[in-house]
Amino acid sequence: MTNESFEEKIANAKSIMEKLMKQDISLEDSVKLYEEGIKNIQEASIILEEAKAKIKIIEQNSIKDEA
Amino acid sequence: MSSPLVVAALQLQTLGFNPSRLEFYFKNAHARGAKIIVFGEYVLNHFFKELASMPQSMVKEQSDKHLKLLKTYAQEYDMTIIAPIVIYKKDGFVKTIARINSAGIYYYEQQILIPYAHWDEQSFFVNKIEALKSPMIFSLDGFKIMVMAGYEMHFPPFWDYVRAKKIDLVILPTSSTFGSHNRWREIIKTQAFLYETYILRVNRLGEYSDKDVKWRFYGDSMLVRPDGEVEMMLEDKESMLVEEIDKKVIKLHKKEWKFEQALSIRKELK
Repeated sequence: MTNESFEEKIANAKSIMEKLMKQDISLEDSVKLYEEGIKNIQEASIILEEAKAKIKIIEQNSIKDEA
Repeated sequence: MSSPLVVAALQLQTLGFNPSRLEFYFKNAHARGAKIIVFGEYVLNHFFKELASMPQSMVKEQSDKHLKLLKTYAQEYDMTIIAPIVIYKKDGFVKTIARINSAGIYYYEQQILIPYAHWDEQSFFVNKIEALKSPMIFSLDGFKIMVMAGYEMHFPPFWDYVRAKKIDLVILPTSSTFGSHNRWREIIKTQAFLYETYILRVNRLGEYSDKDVKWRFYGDSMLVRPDGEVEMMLEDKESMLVEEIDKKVIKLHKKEWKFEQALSIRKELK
């Protein structure tokens, strides 16, 4: 996985989608772009899941502290 | 008797992920009173030989995206849309024709696929090989319409159904290529005449390069009348055909030639 942030990965995926919408794109290029776009979305999704897990741990810790 | 029905045929090459041109054509067809609009084969998806080089999820996404958009257009413009589309089921790709209207999407799974070595849809798709079933038939503004996949045009049982069900319009999406112009024209004109029906053939455009051979899909979309005459034909450029079909024309042809009547007073050939 590259070191880009969640926002950067989503921006990459959006830019790829715009390129895919071009009329004159070859099938070969569109397949490469599609695969790159999916990779960006999957990696962004992993970052999101990790962030959710971190929030959950922080929430659980703060409940313990209050108790 | 019903008023004439305005039909439209969209002659396009593969749209890929970009359906932006469709809005223009739908608006135009709607303004001209079209109640039904038809696509050629492999317009919403790439040609089947190209599908093999694409990830399955990409093909699925392409189909889903187009179907969603067409559903919106069907509602917005109050039109029935006939669009060949590849769908993905658990065993693989299925070649279908979708009928889309404001009520929903209905699929016809092509029953006979091309089985030739150079063009082997039968091996590529997972459409079942089984006893023939009823083709897709529906009524629209008093007209009985049947959808026939291009290759299925070669098989008499489908035409027997056209006669038995008194079909007014056969919709024929195709992906004809090489030098087959005249053969297709002649067969379509002959079938329209013999089976006393309009035929709207919609052929795709575009090219596919297979090693040293270039497959060129040549358009030639046409509306043929029951008397076998071509009402309107598109050439080999992106364009749209919008024409009226009229029950009076069918009735007159049946009255003059009496094919249906001649058979109706005799027992069937066993």
